[in-house]
Amino acid sequence: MEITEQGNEASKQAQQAADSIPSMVEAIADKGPQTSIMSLRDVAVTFGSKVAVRDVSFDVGKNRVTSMIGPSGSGKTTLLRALNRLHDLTKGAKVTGSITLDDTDIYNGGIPTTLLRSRIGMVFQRPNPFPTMSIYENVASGLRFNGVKKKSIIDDAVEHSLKAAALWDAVENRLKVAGGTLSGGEQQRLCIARALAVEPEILLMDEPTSALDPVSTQHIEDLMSSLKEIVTIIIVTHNMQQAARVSDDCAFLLMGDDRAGELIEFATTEKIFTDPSDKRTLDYIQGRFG
Amino acid sequence: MTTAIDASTNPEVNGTGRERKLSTGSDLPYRVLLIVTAVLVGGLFLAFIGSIVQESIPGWRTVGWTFFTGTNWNYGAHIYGALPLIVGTVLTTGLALLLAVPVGFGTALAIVFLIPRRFQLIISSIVELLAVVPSIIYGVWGYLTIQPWLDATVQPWLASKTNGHFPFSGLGIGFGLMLGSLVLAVMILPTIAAISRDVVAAVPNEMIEGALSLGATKSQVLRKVVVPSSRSGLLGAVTLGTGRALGETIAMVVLLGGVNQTHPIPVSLFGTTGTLASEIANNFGNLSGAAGLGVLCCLALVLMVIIGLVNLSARVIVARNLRKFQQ
Amino acid sequence: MTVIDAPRPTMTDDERRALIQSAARATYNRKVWMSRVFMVFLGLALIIALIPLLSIIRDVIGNGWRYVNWTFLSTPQAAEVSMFNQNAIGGISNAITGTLLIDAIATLIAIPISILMAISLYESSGRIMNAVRMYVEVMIGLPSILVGIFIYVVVVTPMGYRFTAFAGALALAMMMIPLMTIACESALRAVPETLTEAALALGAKPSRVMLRVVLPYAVPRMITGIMLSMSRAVGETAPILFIIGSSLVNSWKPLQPATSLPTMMFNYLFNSNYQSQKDACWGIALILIFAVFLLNLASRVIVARTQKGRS
Repeated sequence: MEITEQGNEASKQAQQAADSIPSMVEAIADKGPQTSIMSLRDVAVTFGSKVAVRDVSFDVGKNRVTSMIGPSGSGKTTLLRALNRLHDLTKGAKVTGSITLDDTDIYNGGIPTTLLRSRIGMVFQRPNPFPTMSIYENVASGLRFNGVKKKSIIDDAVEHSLKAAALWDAVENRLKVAGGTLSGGEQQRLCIARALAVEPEILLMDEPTSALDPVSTQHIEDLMSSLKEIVTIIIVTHNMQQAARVSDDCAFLLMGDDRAGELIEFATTEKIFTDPSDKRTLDYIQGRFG
Repeated sequence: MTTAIDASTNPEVNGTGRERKLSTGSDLPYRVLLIVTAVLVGGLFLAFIGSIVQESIPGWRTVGWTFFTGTNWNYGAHIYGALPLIVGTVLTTGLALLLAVPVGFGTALAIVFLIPRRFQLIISSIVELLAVVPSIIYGVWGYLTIQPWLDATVQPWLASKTNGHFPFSGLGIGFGLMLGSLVLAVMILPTIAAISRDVVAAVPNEMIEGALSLGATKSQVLRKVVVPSSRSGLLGAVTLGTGRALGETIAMVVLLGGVNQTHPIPVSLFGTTGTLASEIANNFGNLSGAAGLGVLCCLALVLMVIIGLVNLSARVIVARNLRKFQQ
Repeated sequence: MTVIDAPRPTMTDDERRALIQSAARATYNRKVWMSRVFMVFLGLALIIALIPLLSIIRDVIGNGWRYVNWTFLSTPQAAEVSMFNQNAIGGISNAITGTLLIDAIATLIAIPISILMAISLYESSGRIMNAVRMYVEVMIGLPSILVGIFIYVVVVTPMGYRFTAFAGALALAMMMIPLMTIACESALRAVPETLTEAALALGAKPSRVMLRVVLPYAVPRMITGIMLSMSRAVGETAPILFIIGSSLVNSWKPLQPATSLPTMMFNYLFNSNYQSQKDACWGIALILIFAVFLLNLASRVIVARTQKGRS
């Protein structure tokens, strides 16, 4: 209820202010029509002296799917990896600005990195099940990393997350088999189950279907619409149709003149694809470049 | 060295993925040349094994089963109980592995995952270059640097601390089981570390990031993901180190002491001892007795069998691992 | 998709999340502490490894550098060291000569055989060839002293117990062949298949494709493998110790006895009564290590340069 009221209020304010379209867009973009779980403010990622992406500010709505689109080089993946501090491993990588999870800054707010990563899971471009672990052990691995030892809890979580990833029926009878024996699409769903088992609040997906065939892609996309009831999803995709199909909100990034990616526009997916406020967004979704 | 491991642990290299170019019958001379080469080289190595087997026959006739049961070895006095030498070989190699394997694996992981990138190249270069240093140089170092240190400092200290109890009984003279194992460990350490480094560095980054994204600490990533997924390669590194240790000859001759002595089964780290390889070399220069060469060839054959068994079991383990995960 | 409607265990999602997150928080300190301890152990392992390795380098350079002078390199060893002038041990030119002679012959024998063998492995597969390949790999791991016995039996004994540089060269060649074969074969396999396929598609004979396309491409890597095999052979002591005899003069004759650097070291270290000769081992070790490092370094440079040229 609250959500819609906010949204209505925002649009009313915007109409009252004037008929100027930009201010209305800003109002929607700033407040957002829902509770936000994560906010980015002036986020920039630099590697040494090279700026990879900068000037990114938007809010991620809870239990929504937020997509990040843009041509290659626009810094989508770089930005995504900043959200669970994966750049910490890279020498010379630096994230500036603020990224908050439930109002706590993930870089300076005192959340230990490993605890943060157990709250913000990730699924990668290529399925990466641990090759020496069985299907069961793969899903259980995150729980074990986080100190869950009780077998009944692990058993329950494995079943629950494999069901959530729509893989349970296919593997129920061969949980002891190596994860690498599954097909590519099944492997990716295994990785989703593995990430879900830790019960993250946010699931980052880095082009999760780019290595998959169309049928498996379809499976994963179907999955996402049901998953968002239990987890907030942020997905990077180079496939605009995919972004349009699966996401509620959409961020469009583009490489600037100095080869650094920047946020061009953030809005609901519907708005981005039907009525973008920036000419460059329109060009991109109409396939003029990229 | 590294290529050998690649080939033996990487199933793709051993597989039959390639198309057969030789099947083109039009190029007969070429084909014949290659087959002749393969037959000759194969024959050469068959002859190698065959000649050692043949030369050992007079040895077996002389020593019989006492070769494996006799607990004293003295070549000069024609006492041919090889058990002490088998035990000596297994002990020196075992102790060396005990020291070198954990340190070698730790070094490999430290080079790849702990130290700053700018030191990685220099340290792994040092390790790789020491892996190709000839073993005689390790022998020189052990003889001129470590032996005096053991003799004057380490062994008296150990003896006084343990009151000469097992396994530090007897009088330490520097030379012996302790010196041999220690230097052997240092000798195989670079080999194990260099290959292990290559192996753990080859673990795909996406595996590591996958584990990190689940909230794993660095040590969890290493222990649960990196080490398990490189175990075939690590086993290969250990196998190569084991082979080198079992067959090490010259350094052992120089360091184990007790030339032309009776070798009982070693019971003290301070004691002198012999290995199969070192006793062959010790006595090859002055063959004596009716079956002088034959008995040494018996030692050679036993050594060959031990090394063959080690390699075979490594291959079996690797194959079983592969099978387990390819069902 | 009926995922969410699937029968749920008793827990709600929020309960489940709370449970797991609290477990993660509860064990966090312990896990971070364990991680630190583990990383400290890795650091310790590295230090423990580096101490002896650096000690060897320091000792060889520190004790060996004063032997590196022209006199030491250019005079043969003293025929006899007098008790009253123990430092007059002479130089090592006889051993340098012997090493060069033995290794040169060994390499010349090993190269053609290894390359042909590598080509046969490359050109064929199937059961027999896989067996041969495994065989070659196993040979790499066999103790070098066994090769010494073999050459003693089949070469030295039939020649009337004559110790010769040539016998030593045969032993070293036998050590080199498996190493070189595997190295050369992987050099051949690194040749892009598009090249060979293109040539074969034009109807070229396999031998011609090998000679004109595959070999030229593979040569730099093959040289690398050959040099690495040489660097392994140059320090081998055990296989040649009892078959080359010894020579006190610079001898370039293959059918005469010879002294090589490793056998000289062994004899100085083990069979000499004079500390001066034992100490000289540091000097010989330095020169030997220098040769091995040079071969390795050169092979690395070749690899680096070809890779640069092709990328």
